[in-house]
Amino acid sequence: MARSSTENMITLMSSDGEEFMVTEKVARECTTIRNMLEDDCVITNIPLPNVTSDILSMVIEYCMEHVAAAEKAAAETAEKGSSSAPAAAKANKDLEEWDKAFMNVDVYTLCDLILAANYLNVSGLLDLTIQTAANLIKGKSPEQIRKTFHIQNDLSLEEEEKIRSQTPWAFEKSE
Amino acid sequence: MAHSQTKEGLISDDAIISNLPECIKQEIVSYLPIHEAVRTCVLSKSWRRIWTWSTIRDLDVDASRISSSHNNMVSNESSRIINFVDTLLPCYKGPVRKFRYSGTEPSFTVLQKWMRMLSENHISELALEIVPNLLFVLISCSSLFSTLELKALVLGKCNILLPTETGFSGFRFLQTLDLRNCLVSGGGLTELIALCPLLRQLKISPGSASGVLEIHAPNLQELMICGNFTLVSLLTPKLCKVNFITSPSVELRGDLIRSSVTIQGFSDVAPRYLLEGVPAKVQPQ
Repeated sequence: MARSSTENMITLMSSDGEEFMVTEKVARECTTIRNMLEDDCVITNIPLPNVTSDILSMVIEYCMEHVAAAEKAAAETAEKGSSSAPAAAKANKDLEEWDKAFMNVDVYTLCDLILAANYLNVSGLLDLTIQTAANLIKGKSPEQIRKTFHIQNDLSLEEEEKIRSQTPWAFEKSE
Repeated sequence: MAHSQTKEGLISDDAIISNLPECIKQEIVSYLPIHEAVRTCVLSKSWRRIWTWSTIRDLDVDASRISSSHNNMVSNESSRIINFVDTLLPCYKGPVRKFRYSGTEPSFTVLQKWMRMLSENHISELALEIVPNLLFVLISCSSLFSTLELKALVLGKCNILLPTETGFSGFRFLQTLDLRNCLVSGGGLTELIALCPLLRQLKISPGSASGVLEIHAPNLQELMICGNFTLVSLLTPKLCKVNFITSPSVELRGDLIRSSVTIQGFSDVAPRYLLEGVPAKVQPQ
């Protein structure tokens, strides 16, 4: 479908009152917003009381990048009749690289992005952020994980010992 | 994110990852290897039981690489691994997508217990490879499998006998069956396939069966057979891909008009013959 200059614009409002104008296509990347638009097609202004402006701008950046990549792939397919496999693979790899660079954030931002992706239901971003959080845990000892994520250990030594003794094999190796 | 009140008291935004909804923490833990997933239980009180509700994508219990140089150590190590599965599964409430076990033969009671526990985890893929080979009598005990809603089943080096009890209703959901070096008669295999009405993909690897094989599978799309059969007869209306490695004297019967057929191995059979759907006799080289 050709992109018309009269494409619907939607205003998203963050919890701290900042407004973001995005195309309907970008807004539809968020399943939560897509459902709202499908219920009420004249809606143009959507308040998002759970998302701050800095996090919302990142979510929008992610959605725009992914919409643009999908449009580019569709345009290439339309032009050549079929998409060439190496070009598609390269485009995928580029997008993966972009995602990776996008995930270069501190743990606070990461957790806020997880919450926003969950609330707005952006499945690609939710998978990406959750996978990133898991990668930050992988290979670390419980003490290192607590340090990375600033987790307060509220278990007493006795409690921790007791828990460890229930699954001793989990603590045998690579700690 | 503002400070939030929990029953443990005021938690500062320092512990933001702990404040994520439980379902998200479970998702995060699901991406970890099983040992690391379990280790998250000591992070803090709020992490105590997260792993028990996470999803195990692939529980791979590989006891086959245990060195056999020292017999005593072997039995110690394998009992340690059996103990690992025994203590893991009962605590586990989340789904287990795939369970693979390869290694020395656990006792039948142990295996039966695992299957019972896995059925509660809604397992959909099961792979069992038992060494030392060919010692295990498997499907003969329908109770082992009757509760599982499997979509894929891989059996290696198992001795397959079919259930004699009448209560076994078959593998009602099974789509993929892969038999590797299993011991089963052609007739037994025929019966086993008939017990899987939704079967779409069937692989039978060397040594798995011999004799006369009748495949009656209304949904079968892909078939790979490698074995020493004398007669293979196909009642498979949806079959579209066949890969056949067999002995020279095999006779193949069935309508293969819509299928792409590849024949390899010790025969110089003309695929054209088979494509016409004419009962074909494979000529010896």
